[in-house]
This record gives sequence, structure tokens and C-alpha cells, in this order.
Amino acid sequence: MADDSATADDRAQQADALLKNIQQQQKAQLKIFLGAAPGVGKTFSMLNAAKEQRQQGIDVVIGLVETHQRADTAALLTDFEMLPRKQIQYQQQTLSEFDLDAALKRQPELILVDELAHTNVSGSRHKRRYQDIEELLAAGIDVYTTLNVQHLENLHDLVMQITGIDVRETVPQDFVYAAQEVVFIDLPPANLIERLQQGKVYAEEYAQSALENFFTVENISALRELALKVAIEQMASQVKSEQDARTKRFQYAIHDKLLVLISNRSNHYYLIRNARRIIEKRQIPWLVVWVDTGQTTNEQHKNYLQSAMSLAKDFGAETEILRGPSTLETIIPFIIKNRINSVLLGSGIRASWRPWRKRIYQKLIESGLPLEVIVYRSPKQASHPISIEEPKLKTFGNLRSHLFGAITVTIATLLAHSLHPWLNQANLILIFVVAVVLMSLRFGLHAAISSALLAFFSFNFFLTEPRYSFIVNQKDDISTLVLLLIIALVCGPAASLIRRQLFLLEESNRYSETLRSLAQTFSVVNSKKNLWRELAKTLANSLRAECHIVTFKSKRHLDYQVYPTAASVFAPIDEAAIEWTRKHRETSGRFTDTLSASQWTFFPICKHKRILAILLLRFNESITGLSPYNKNLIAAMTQQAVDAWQRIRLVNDLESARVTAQVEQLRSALLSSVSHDLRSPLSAMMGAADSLRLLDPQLDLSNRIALIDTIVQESQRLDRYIENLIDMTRINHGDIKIERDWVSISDIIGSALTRIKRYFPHAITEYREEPMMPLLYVNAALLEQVIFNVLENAVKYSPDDEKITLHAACNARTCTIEIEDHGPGIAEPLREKIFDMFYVIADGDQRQHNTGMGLAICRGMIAAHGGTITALAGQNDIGTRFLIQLPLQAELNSRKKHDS
Amino acid sequence: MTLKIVIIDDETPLRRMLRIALQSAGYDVAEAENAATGLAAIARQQPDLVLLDLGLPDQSGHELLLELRTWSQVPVIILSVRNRESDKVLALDNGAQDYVTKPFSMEELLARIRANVRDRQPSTLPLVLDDGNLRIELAKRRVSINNIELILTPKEYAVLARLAQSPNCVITQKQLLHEIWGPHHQQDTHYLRVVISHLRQKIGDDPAEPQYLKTEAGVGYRFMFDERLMQ
Repeated sequence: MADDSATADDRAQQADALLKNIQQQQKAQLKIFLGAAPGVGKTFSMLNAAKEQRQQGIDVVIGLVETHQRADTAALLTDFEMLPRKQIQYQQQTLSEFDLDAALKRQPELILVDELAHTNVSGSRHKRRYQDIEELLAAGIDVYTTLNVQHLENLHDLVMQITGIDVRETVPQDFVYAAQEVVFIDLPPANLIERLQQGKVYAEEYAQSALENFFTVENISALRELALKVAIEQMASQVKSEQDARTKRFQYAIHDKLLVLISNRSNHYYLIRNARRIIEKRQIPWLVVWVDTGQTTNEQHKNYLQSAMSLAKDFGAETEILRGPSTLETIIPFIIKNRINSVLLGSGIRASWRPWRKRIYQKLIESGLPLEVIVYRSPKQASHPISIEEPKLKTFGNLRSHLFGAITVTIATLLAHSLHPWLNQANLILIFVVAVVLMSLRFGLHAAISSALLAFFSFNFFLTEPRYSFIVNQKDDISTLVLLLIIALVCGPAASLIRRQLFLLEESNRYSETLRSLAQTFSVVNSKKNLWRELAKTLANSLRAECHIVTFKSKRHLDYQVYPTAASVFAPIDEAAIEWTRKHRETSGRFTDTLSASQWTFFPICKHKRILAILLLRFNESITGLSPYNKNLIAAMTQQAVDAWQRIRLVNDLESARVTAQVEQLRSALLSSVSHDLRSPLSAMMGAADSLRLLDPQLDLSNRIALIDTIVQESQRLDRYIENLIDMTRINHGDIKIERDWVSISDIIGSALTRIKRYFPHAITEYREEPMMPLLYVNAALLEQVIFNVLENAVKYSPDDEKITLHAACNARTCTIEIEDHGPGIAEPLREKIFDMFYVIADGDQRQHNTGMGLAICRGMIAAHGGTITALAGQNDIGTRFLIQLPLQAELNSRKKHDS
Repeated sequence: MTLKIVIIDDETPLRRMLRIALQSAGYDVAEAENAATGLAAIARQQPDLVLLDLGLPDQSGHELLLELRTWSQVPVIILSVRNRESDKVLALDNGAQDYVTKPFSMEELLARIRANVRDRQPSTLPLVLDDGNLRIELAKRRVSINNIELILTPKEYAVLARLAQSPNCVITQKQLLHEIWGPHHQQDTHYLRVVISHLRQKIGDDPAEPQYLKTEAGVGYRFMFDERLMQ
């Protein structure tokens, strides 16, 4: 919308510029004779120019000319008609002024008014003479006038600087610059001074003072320069305004657009070639349009149209296929919407049996649109390639419809005949009317007319007197026939129109429905692979053709991926076409000019200039060309696919950014965790060692032992941590080898409990075991480590006075160990996460002495045994219950067998 | 009078080690293993200095510091494994006097403790700092190197004097900018960098290995001065 209004503004401006230019041309002409100083010969030149005009037959009148008693000037005046001056009484003086009213009344073509800068005596209509001249110009009278450069308003200050004279009588510069012509009257300063000295300008006594004050060589040279500049500037501004108008006219022209309307039966090639010649001359864009009214069902016809369209495209035209029940009704809104101002079309053929019918170009001209309509009548022989004969399908349809008509009329006749005894003639005819209406609604005009005729004869033969004869003997019968024919003529076209519209509606519904469902499918597609698969599927369904999408894995030749996977490998020609389309981003293969021997047609799927994929379609062999519907459908669908592709790419980018951020977060958590866990014991050790060295004299024995203990314990802690770290790395690499042996579960748990007591003497534990526990074939040390880690966790997180329970049970296949505490528990979503390496609930070092690796190591070790470890809520939702499940040996053996 | 120090750290071995070391160095020591008991200990003991770990089980050290500063100006030295500048700046801005990263040298920690405890008692601060090379007379606004008086701009002198008033203590960039340039220039760290570089030039400090004006990267500056000469 914004764009539209902008264009409208542009146009308005261009129109203004044009108008202004035209107005200027029509306006009365103002010619100013500009001089640097009095006495250069302005009035003289003006009179000479006027004389020339008069010789050309122009009606010239002198409004006012000051001769300053110069003889040569006065001599020129004698030939002209002179308006009498107006006498005005002013302060006991009689002054003579230019008589504006007299001039306006006289209405000459050209009037001469000297001294533009003159100030009128008070009591005149205008204060200034240039205002008088304005009025003359407005009245359409051309004016010649004179001006000395020092009177220009914008030069006032400059002139004062140069000459020291404060010029009171000034003329606005706009007035001067708006003049059509400014003539610079030049006289070299030396000559002017000479003239002045000779008394040719002023009377002698006055001339002397003027020479001393004003007419110095310097002054005159400077003023001469100024005058020259003004003349040049005025000329430049005139040139510029002309140029503006010219370029704007050109711009206006390039907003033009030629629409070439190809109708169902016009000679498309002829029109398009002619249109091209026109647009080449005019340098304007063009548009080739065909209105599909649903009448053209003939395949050959369609192909012909398509090739015309592609020719137009080759010539650089835009092409458009519109749909609507009537060409005129569809094209007029289109013309208005696209602001088209020229239409080229064929003259069309006037059906000789309908001479009243107006041709489309006539209708266009009469539409009232501001249109240039160019009509071409194609040469006779050139119009032949298009068959005007009825298409086959229609012929068959007609034959069938006539048959139906006959049957319907027969039924109507039988019905009427049997009802004859009860009903009168007028009612019986209604039965036939119904039959004709039905026929016309169902089969259109032709069938309606044939059945109307049939109905009439049948009615006449069977139901009117004399019976069983075709003799028409009543006026009523004639009117019956006419009535039936009128019904057929009225209903038939109406019905065909309705059917055509219905057909179009169905067609466009199918089109939009397909696109809509595709959009829906695409909206949930989340990978490029699925996108191409879906596109191929949908296209294959809606075009009833075999369809594949090819994407490229790398820039290498023929390194591609096919969706859905092709059953057979493509032939060399197909691969060549794929490469060609990839390189040129143009359609190739069947129905095109490139590698058309291929069975496939190859369409590029591009985003801007980048090729994303190639669409391969193999149509049924009977199909001879791509219909515009199919082309549109392919274009629309691939466009949707491109949009979806872009969306998927964006989502992927976001996702990868998120993953990167997560990895970064993990890395920094890991780093801070490692640094904390390594540094904490290290700080204590270093501090203790430092203190021993530094403060040795002040330390008593017990403190010294305490510091040494600190060093020993902390180094053990550090060692444990490093051991864990190494274990973890090994598990992570999956190269942990476990050496198994038969051990009893109670031994393992017992040793873990002993170890935990050593570190956490206050911990309360309880161990229960089902009777008859089998021996486990495991690595005792690793399993003990697992149980120790879980226990350590439990001890740290549960209150000191709460018991930690261990329970071992077993069935035929698995041994289960449960360790439950009464701590704060773990929220459901975190129960899996705690097994992640370095998972840290709180950040950095803000947690109990926890390596963050313990549980991850547990999971790795249990997995190495083929078992699982999971965290669950404790009983009654209090605390945490760790569940370790280990397969028994029998189970492991059977698994191995299964694997082999 | 013995000075009292409260240690707030969740690592038992570290606390024990610190207690022994500090007691042997002549301080009274109280311990706390988390933020709650730590604050209670400060309130009860009225210590002369606090050693604070940032990673505490119940609350972060930063939060504790903010809370503490609402009612006490006791000098706080942060003792933490976190060595990111952002942590240091945050702690110092929140009102900590100094920041020592673990693992640390006991000697350095003791020196920092002495510096910060002294900083609390302005009367003990000598008006003249002289190590034979550099001589700063705070009362006379006079700075000389090898008995040659330096000509310093007012800003240069202000920065040097501010740093010298708390020898061996870190002063954050924000603090310096706020005190010398005013509250609206706290982000203009380039002013400070220029002044420090000029100062180093004038007092003959090698920027790569400064003897007096030490940079705590991203945090602030520290005026290094042999404490034995300040007695």
C-alpha cells in the first residue's frame, strides 16, 4: 500500500512539473534587457528588437520609453504606436506615468515598458512598475522591459559595497529569473565613459558629477561582471526547469506498462512479436496476460498457449494467467490494480451470426478507463495455426448431451401423452418446458436448443390437433415453439456459465487446498530431509507423476542425495541434466529445450541465487506439456518448501547456538569444579606446610602434629579425587576392563560400610539381606567403590541422626541393591542429571565436599558390569533411594549366547 | 591487645590449619563453617578482621558481605579458589578490603592481614614513606626519587597519595575513580590507566614488572611498600 501511494505521489509531482512547463510556454513572454549601467544601450536594443517583431506582423505598442533626450533612441520611436502617459498631480507637480489601464484596454500582443525598477508616483494602482508588468503578463500581453543590474534586490548589498550607493529601487530576483529571456546589453567600460563624456547619456553638468561618483572604470567593470553573472544564472535556471520537465516526462513514461491480452483464439505469436516491437520503441515493461475462462479444454490449444507464454517470457515479458468467467470482467480490475495504460490485443473474430455483439477491444475502449487500446488485426494466413473447430471432447459431450435431450423429450412426451385426457394443452406444454430447462441446466446451450426443437416437434406431432402430423395450424403452436426456443436460449448460457464457474472454483479450491495442506505439513517438519520427502510426496500426489528431490552433499560433481531414495539409478542424460540445472539454475529435461530426451523434467529449487535442491518429475508418457496449473503448483509448492527450508535452517542455527552455550556452561562448571576440588585440599596442605616452615618457633608440639596430620589427610583426599578423575576418564573412553571373581554381596557391602565409618564415624547404617543370596561374579573393588560412593552421598545429604538403610535382594536373573536415605531427596527432573559427569546442583564450590563425579563413576562401573543404577524417591516420598540392578551370571551367559 | 580474626570457611582442614597458623602469629581466632554462624561470630566477637570464603554451604560469601556491610565496617579479606576477575571485583565492590586466591602462601596472607589491620588505624600511618629511593611526604604533598623532587599533576598526586595511604592494600579502579574523579566517572578506567602509566614513568617503575605500583589485572592497583620501613 505504502508503495502504491508513493507512486501516486510521484505521479502527481511529475504531472505538476509538466503542467508548470506547459503553463510557462503558454504564459505571456517577458523579455528583460539587462545592462550594467545607464547608457549602455538597453532601450535602444529593446526598440530594435520590437521593430523586428513588428516587421513579423506582431502588434507592438510602446507603453513607456524614456529617451533621456538621446537622439538615436528617439529616432527609433517614431515608427511605433505610443500609448499616452497618464498625468498625475503630486504635490503641486504634474508627473507623467505609464497608463496601465490604457494598455490593458488596448490589448496589444507586445508592449514596451522601460525601466523595470521604477517606483510609481503614489496614487498609481501599483507601487512599483514591475507589478504593473505582472498584471500585463497575466493579461496575456508580452512585455519588453529594461533593467540596470544594480536594481536587483539580491545584489543590493554587493552593489553598495562596490559603488557606495544605497539603491532604493529594487526588483525581486524571482521576477527577473522567471523571465523567459534576459538579454545582456554589453558595452565595454571605456566606451561607456566615452559616451558619457560626449554627453550622450546625461546632460553635461549632471554627467560630470556622475563621472566622478559612479562611472569609474572599476565600478562599471564590477557591475558589468555582475550583470553578466545574472544573465548566465537566469539562463541556467531556465535550462534546468526545462530539463526537470523533460526528465520527469521520461520518468512518467517508464511507469507505463503495456498489457498484451491474448485471448483464446487470437494469434498469440503475432501479437507477442508486435508487442515486442512496440515496447522496444517505447522502452517500457510489458505483461502478457491470458484469461482462462474455463472454455479451453483442448490439449493442443493449451499447448499452443503455453508456448506463446514461454515465448513472451523469453522476450522479457512478465506473464500472468488470470481466471474468471469472462475475459472483460477479469481484465478490467487487473488493469486498474496494475495501473496499466496501454493494452494490445487482437481484433478478434466477429461471429457472423451475432453481429450485434461487441468485440472486446470495443468494450475496453468504452469502459471509461484512461487506456490506450492498440488493436492488431492478424493477417489471414497467420491466423490459421489455431484450430477453431470444436475440441474432440466437447464433440463427444455434445453428442451425448443431444442423446440425453432426445431421451428427456421422449419421457416428457410419454408423460404428457398419458396425462392428456386430464390436463389441457397449456399445462401439458409445461412438462416440455421443464424438460428443456433441465436439459439447458445440465448440458448447456446446444443441447437446450436441440431439445427445444425436438420438444416442439414432438408436442406438435403427438399432442396438437391434428394429431400425428406436423401441420402447424394454430397461432398458439408458433408461440409455443418460440417460447421453448427462448427458454433454451436464456437458460442454456446461464447454465454453462454456472458450470464453468463451478469448474473454476473446484480447480482453484483444489489448488489452494493442496497448498494449504502442504503448508500445514511443512509447519511441523523439523529437518531438511523430512522437508524434501514431504515435498516429493505431495507433488507426486497432486501431479500424479513420479517425483524425487535431489540435494547436494558437496560441491563435487554428482555427489548428491535423493529423496525419497530412487529405485533405479538415473541414466547418464539425467545426471547431465541434474548438473546442468544445478549450474544454470534453470529448468531442463523433458518439455524444455535442454536435454529434452530425458524422461524427467528437472526444476531448480533456489533461494535467491543459491540452489538448494533439484526437483525431478516424471510425468505420464501421454502428457505432452506442462499445464500452467501444474507449473503454478510446482512454483508455489517449491516456494513454500524454500520458506520452510529457511525456517528449519534458522531453528537449527538457534539449536546449535543453544548446544554450544550448554557445552560452554558445562565446560566452565567442570573447570570450576575441578579447580575447587583440586585446590581445596592443596590450599590446606600448602598452608600447613608454609606455617610449619614460617612459624616454627611459635608452634607447640600438638599444633605441629595437627598441621602434619592436615597435610597427610588432605593429600589422601587429593589422591582419592585424582583416582576418581582417572577412573572417570577411563570409563568415559569405555576401555575399562573388569576382572571378575565370585564374591558374596555381604562381603562387598560390609567392606564399604567399614570404609564409610572411617570417614564418617557418626553415620548410622542398617543392612538387610534376603536369605539364600547367590554369589556375584563381579569385580569386588569396583562394586565396593560404587556402594561407597552412593553411601558417601547419602551420608553427606542426610541429617546426622537419620538411618541409612541398605537392602539386597535377588530373583532368578538379577540381584538388586537398594540404598535409601532420609535426606532432602532429589527433585524428579534432576534424578537422571545427577549421573552426569560433574553435574553440580549449586554452582562452583558452593557444596559439600563433593567431587561431582561420584555418581557418574557409579553409573560407568555398573554399566561395565551390564547393570543399571537409578535414583528414585524414598519411601513415603522422603529421601532418596538408589537402585542398583546387576544381572546374575546365568543371565549374562544367556545374553552372550544370544549375541553370538 | 591481641587482634581478633574470625575465619569463615566450610573446609575443616583449612580452618584448622589457619587457626594454628594465626594463633601462632599472635592473633585470637574464632571459626565458623557457614554464613549464619559466621555472621553470629562477627556480631559476638567484634573481630578486627574477617577471613571469608566465597563458597559457603548456606549462602554465598558475596551475600554475606553485603549483609555484613549494613552494620559493620570490619576489614574483610576474601579467601577463595575462585580466581575470576569478576568475582574479585564484585567482592571488593561489595566492601571487601582484599582478595587472596587459594592456594596461597602463608607469608603473603599474613602480610595482607597486617596491611589491612593497620589500614584501619589511620593514626599509625606514617606521614612520610621513604625506602631510600622513593620518598612520599603526604603532609607536604611532595614526592621525590633519589632526592630529586618530581613534578606531578594534581590527579597523579591524588592517585599516588590514595594508594600510598593504604600501602600493600588493593584499591579498586572504581574506588579510585569515585574518590578522585567523582561519582560520574566510575566507568572511565582509561583515565586511571593513563595516570598510572605516567606515574610509573615518573617514579621509574617498569610497567612489566612494577616495584611500587602493582596492577591487579581487571581489579585495581596496589602500592607496594616494605612494611618494615613503616614502623
